[in-house]
Amino acid sequence: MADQQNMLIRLERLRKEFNGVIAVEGLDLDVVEGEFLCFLGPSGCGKTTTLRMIAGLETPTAGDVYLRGRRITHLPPQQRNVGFVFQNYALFWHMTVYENLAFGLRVRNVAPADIDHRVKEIAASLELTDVLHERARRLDLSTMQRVAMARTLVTDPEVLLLDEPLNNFRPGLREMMRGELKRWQMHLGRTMIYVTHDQEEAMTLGDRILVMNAGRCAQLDTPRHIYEHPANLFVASFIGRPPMNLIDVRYTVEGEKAFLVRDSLRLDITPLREKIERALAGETQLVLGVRPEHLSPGPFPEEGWVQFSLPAVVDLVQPLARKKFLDLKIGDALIKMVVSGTAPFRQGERFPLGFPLHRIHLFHPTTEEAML
Amino acid sequence: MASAQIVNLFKSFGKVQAVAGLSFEVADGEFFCLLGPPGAGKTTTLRLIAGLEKPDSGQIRLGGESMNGVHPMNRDVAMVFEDVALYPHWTAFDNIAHPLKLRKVPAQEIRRQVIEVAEMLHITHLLDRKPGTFSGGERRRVALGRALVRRPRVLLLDQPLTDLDAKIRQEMSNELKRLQVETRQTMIYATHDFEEAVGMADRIMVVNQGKEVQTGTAEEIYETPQTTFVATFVGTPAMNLIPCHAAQEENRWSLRHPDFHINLPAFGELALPQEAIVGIRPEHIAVTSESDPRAIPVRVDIVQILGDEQIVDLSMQSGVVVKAILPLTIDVRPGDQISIRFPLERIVLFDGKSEQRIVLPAR
Repeated sequence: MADQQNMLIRLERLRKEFNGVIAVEGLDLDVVEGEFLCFLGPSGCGKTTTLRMIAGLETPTAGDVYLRGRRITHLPPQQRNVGFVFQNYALFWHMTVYENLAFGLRVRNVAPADIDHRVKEIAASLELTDVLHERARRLDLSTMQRVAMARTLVTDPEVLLLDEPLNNFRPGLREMMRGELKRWQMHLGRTMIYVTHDQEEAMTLGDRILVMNAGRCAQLDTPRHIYEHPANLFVASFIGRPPMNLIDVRYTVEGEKAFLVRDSLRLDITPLREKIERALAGETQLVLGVRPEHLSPGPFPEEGWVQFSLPAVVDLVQPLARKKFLDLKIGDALIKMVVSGTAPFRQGERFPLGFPLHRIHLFHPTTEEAML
Repeated sequence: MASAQIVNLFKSFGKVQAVAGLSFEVADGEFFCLLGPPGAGKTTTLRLIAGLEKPDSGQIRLGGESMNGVHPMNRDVAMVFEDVALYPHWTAFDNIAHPLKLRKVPAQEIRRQVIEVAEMLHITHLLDRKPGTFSGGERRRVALGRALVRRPRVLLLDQPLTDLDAKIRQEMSNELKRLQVETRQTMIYATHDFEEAVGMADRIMVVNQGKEVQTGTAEEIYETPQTTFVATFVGTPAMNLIPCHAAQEENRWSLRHPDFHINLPAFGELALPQEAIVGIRPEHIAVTSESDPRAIPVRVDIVQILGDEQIVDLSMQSGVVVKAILPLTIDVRPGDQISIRFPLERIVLFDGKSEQRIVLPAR
């Protein structure tokens, strides 16, 4: 997708060590102009370090950063023309919106007339004209978010870098601000790189997501593709709420039929026999993955569905407003299922459990890579 | 373990009325949640129950016994705070065992109880280690273990999961629910996160500005919010609230908005205020065909895909934006013109002035 024309940033075999601890390792990445790219991963996965290397706030131990084909690996931040939006926005609370916006231009010695023009222009595009003379601390949160973006955009950066900007907002507000951010990104058409540990944020905001684990790229793709085709066990267990159910199983063949087996629990997957055998190459152990929202109580249509040989027993019901999360025991495995909030499931209830065959995921037990 | 009764509790700090007449009852073995925005008075209420603050007036009874004037040490309650304080130079075992040692429980018995609690919290592997190297989630678990091991009459939890990573927070909320179901420990849990409250509590009390707004099960609070405050505080995205004019034609009411008219069925006796607010949850907005007489034409602004569904911002012709949650099987893209409707049975009505729910009489 990244042809040379619209490629804005390129990372090449980027590596960063802090006192012998590897934070980022062998990272290659092309950022396309105009895209909203999310870096997603747990704390310590290297996502913020990567962002800071793009900003010039950290120097890579090895590898390179390019901006429009120009190598900027060792350029100081102020010579890179990238904009950084910090957590909590770090506005100057005692200053007016106007002063907040003008500040970055003043320190760059932009001519006063030009400052005024640029401040007003960016304010207009982010609907801040009416609050230009309000003090920052008096603003509501959604306006603060726009001021923080405007303050960074006023210097006309090539890319906007955002480091978990919504982290400290309470739930509810967070989702609202997230929607706002998406709206403004679409409106402005700017390239943004957004760091978060929250898969929901990454899934809803990103045009593409870079999932990181232990300093490396675990998967880079569109949210939809990552959800539907997680490349490995790590991504499968990180994406989705609740994340994908993963069950260790054994592959066996009986006559014409093929099964995934765990003690007395069996799943007939004969239609996938050829594919699985090719991928397993003689192995018999593998990991079965099914998303909680793809599980369903029976009865099932004949075609295209698979059913576990044992019934599921409801172990815990966790209502979540418009949904319910169920913990189910099936054989000795504990798995989760998501149903609608009005579905009347009770603790102790038993029912046949199955899912559409095309929703199956299988992972190699040692490489942890997806097999289908 | 015991029940708790809170009667007409007041507490102010200078000019700030932190708790303004709260009354509630928590049954023995119940998981009760105080839900509200920062500054609602949740933490103060917990501190009053624990005896860390003295109420201006009101009654606190635990297990039927009045706690007024009883020293915190003698109340037999445990509290877990947002910012966990563990003894850094003690192992997790010693941290958890501490309250039992204070009570001079025999060493053998301490060992048994600490291990039992540690198993429930999945932290047996941490018992010999010191907290310095623990992750946020591990620290919370140890603190929780220290509170649980005492088997207090009431366990008070003050936003114990805030500032954990989203994934760990969700895992821990699931574990805490499970733990409470297993132990039937009476718990009062304060949070500003409605999903936490809804996922764990048997009952929830929504508080705002030191006062009760609504109390009920998660389902009651979600499906029948009594005020617009509850409607928007509970649920993500929040319930759509659209101000309308209520007008009467013969014996039927209709709700009028530049973008739509909703004709209510004939109710016997119904008086509506002129200014009304139509509330509809995003997941109840339905896509319909252009020819549907109730169709509201909208433009798709933003699409946020989330698993097998999508959050879609829709602009009506007047510019009012509503959020809908649609299955992923409906293919919509920014710029598309589509038609939606608000299913009548899903609409919640509020008085435009008082912002209280208007209950429609049964037909």
